[in-house]
Amino acid sequence: MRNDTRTTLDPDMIDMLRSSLRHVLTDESTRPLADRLADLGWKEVVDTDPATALRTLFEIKGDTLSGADALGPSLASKYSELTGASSASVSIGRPGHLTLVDGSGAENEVSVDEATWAALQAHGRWLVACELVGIGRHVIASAVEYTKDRVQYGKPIGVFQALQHRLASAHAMVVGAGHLITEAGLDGDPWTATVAKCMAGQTAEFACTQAQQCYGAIGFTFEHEFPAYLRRTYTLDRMFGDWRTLEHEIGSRLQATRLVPRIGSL
Amino acid sequence: MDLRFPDEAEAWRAEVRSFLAANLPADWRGLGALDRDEAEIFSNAWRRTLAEHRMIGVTWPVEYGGRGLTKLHQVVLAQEFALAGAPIYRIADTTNIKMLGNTLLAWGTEEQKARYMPGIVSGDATWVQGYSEPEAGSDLAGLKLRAERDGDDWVLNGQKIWTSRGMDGTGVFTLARTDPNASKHRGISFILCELPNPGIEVRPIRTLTGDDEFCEVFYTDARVPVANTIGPIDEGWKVANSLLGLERGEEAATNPIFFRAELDRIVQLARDVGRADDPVIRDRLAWCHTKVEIMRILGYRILTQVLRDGRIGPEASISKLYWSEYHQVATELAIDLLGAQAMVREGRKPFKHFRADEPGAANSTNSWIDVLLMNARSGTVYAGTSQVQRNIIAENILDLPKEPRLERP
Amino acid sequence: MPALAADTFATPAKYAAALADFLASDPRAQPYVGYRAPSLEHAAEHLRGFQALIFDEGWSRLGWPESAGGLGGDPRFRAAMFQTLWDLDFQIPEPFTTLEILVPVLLVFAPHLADELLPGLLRGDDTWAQAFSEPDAGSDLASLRTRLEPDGDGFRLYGQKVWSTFGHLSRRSVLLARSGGPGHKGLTMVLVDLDQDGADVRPIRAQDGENHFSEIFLDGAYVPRERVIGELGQGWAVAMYMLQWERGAWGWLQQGRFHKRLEQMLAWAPTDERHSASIGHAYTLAAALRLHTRDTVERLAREESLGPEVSIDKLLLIDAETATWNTVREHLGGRLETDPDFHWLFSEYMFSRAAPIYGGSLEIQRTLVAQRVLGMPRD
Repeated sequence: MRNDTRTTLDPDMIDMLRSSLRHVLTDESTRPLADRLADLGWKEVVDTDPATALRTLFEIKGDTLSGADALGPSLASKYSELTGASSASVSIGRPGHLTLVDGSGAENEVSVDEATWAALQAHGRWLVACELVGIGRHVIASAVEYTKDRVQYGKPIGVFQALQHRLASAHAMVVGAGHLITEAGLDGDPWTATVAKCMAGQTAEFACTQAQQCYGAIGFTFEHEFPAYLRRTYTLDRMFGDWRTLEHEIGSRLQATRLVPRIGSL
Repeated sequence: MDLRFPDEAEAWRAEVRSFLAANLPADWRGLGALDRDEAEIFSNAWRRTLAEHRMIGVTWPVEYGGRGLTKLHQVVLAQEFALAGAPIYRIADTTNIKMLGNTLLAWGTEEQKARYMPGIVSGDATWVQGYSEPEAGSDLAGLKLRAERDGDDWVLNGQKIWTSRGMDGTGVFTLARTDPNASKHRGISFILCELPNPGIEVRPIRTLTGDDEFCEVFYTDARVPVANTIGPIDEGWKVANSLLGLERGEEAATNPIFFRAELDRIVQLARDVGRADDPVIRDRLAWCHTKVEIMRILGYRILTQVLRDGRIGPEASISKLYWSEYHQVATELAIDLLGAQAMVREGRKPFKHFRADEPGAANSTNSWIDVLLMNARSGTVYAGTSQVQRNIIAENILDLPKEPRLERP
Repeated sequence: MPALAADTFATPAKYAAALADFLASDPRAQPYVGYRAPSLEHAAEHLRGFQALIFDEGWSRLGWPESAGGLGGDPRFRAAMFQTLWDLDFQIPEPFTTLEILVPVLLVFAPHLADELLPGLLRGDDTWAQAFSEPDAGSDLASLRTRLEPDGDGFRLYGQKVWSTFGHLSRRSVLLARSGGPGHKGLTMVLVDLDQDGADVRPIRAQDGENHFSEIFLDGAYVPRERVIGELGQGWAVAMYMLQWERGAWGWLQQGRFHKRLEQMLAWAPTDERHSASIGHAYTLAAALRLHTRDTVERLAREESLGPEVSIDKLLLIDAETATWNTVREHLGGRLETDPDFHWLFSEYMFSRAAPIYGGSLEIQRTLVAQRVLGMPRD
């Protein structure tokens, strides 16, 4: 509806993509992720609609808790886009510094200008935010299912308002975070990426804590899937700025500039 | 509110302090300063020392190894031990001494007391608790472990879960259904099951920290003498619930000490990582400080009620809600201070899986990660979830109308 | 007809830019810039002139159908108008809120009334209220008791309504009454004139001293047959349709307010780093609300039926509203409550405390999301 000349993937295509990505991200193959994605025709998908493609990839990564290294290669693509230099994987160091990893695994630390570094950090923030949203969605959906099956006091525990309200609140946050990551992917603005990551971090943390209350004791066992999602949330949140720090940064910037940017327009 | 203890209690306090000074190692800095294996060894040895000096179960009658003192004396002892960072007993003694010991004294026959108390006092016996079941968590009264009468024995069939330290147990005290025709809360009996027993199998459960802390306990035609029933048959629910209050009273006085010690570690951590001047961190630390101070006053209020009335009411729910939700916030602050470091596990893992790490523990990532993920997060689940606690507060303190219950009582 | 260039209407963005130009340059708009209401009654009186101005010049007619006195275009144009007004520090006349909620209902269920009455309503010559809640029927609205009884060619109303926003400043009210049996099947939506003998409107003073709401006592107030909205017995469906506008359109309007107030707050108080987290928190939630309600406005513009997810709009709105006002209050450091120049802002703050209650309470919305969106089981 907005006058946006960018092309987007149609809904059927996105469904197929989600399905294929799920397979790729969870298969046990030792082949590099980039190769497995190439088999899917990933390049074409990304060229058509990079925002949707990458967001979907990382949301599913969060949903499946995939350990595949998607971040390094994605940052490398971005780095290549910005500088023309190629690399198999990139990781972000202290301001102005990056570590490039080549195909053979050799590492090389480089300095880059402020703008390039900031753009890469923004990209990293956005991708991790997408992953956090994927986690948030997953733990809520799983907790909902659990509350339908778990019976106490003669009823499925999902009928209790206390649990309904916790998961409903978490869901609203996930919806809000979902909009921010979508917008961040479209506008490419580091500010939007920062706000998106801030929202995604607190959303995933909240979704996990609320889901945990639903699971009760069983959520503390080694074999249950839940603890892994909680751990991953804490780890991801702390990449490129945890949400509390980002909140402070955002507020600090608003105070300093006395400007309140309106993200997104009709 | 007069927060002073009576003179007699202060005299006792001095006695406890001398005992600790005389018996703790000279360079003692708290159990947390020992690595986990050393801590286990120390705890067991220390336990024997306590038993020898009658510092275990000081409220118990002298003939059962106690000193016949009042509950207030027990609280004073617990406070002094907490301040010194000395364990009041082994972790498994929470169920052994606090729960079973006191239950036996209140409900046991002379014969049962004579039989079981010595082992409990000496530490040769370790009784673990078997209450929860896979289908009976919050709704414990829905438990299904069946005990059928066969001559002088019960024959037990069923399963228990979340039995803390089950693998260390020399016996399990359990709640079983002895009259399936009675209503839910009736027809339950409190039964002591000595181990080993050919019909009882204990299997560890690994927690998310990787430790085997809890167990499942399987009963398959397990025979246990009917004489092992504590209190009247079919009235086990009353027996089990009668002493919860006392436990909470002591806890109310000592929790603030442990959480204060933990907060001191967090403050030190803030200094160590160079963020003690950060106004946001200071704000968060100040919040924690006010909460711990309130916890201390709340603890005294509850303690007063326990000592005066001999029982504690629904106010215990306020305390539990308060410290468990506080703890989650405090531990998150600690993890935030560790920052990126928190992604790499190193150092000593916590010795216990509930509440704060031991006094004297270093600010290692292993300590804080496990306390955050396991201890703190489970705080709002065990011993009555936060949702259940709020129900109790709403219905019993605020007198709000009870939720309609659809099932048979 | 206003002299608006044709391509002004091409997109909401172009429209917004043209409106901004007009407001900045036209001298008739100047008395309304930065207006701070000393009271609700004063605002209602003063802003009537502004409402008439932007109607006569055509700006507020965009987004409403031509048959009803509009200039065509979808709801995004109205959303763009609100955004522009906020951004340029114009107080949005209260009737616009009512319009957003009530007019779409008329267009669907009583187009003849829309055609007849919308222009006057849009211009501000006519003012309407809503009357749904009763003393014994709040969250459980379907249990309401005000009766609608047949009388000749029309009906008469008997009963009592409460929490009618600005009822005492309104000439007419949309009202939900019981025409049949119990439950939601026996309800009918009507439009009743309040300036008649059988209707007695009494303002209720809220905690900020302002008359935000009214009670309406009905003792035989007459409703002509043509003023029934929808069919007899269709009242609940009409109310449900109204809800998605109340939750959707209102949300977009509010995010405009929150962003503006945050911006103003920063100008009114010095930097204080201790407030940064709270400010960042409010901004993040306001941004999430903005994007979500933009999506809702676009769906409404496509005439999609919104379903139970509108409750999510309300949840995000409550979070953003609470956070925004908490940070405004904190950052102004006591001046909000004590400075007479901020009375108007304090009034807004106090009203914001009602956000988790009106239009379906926070608890109700959470339950709806849990059961109808997440599919959690019902008791």
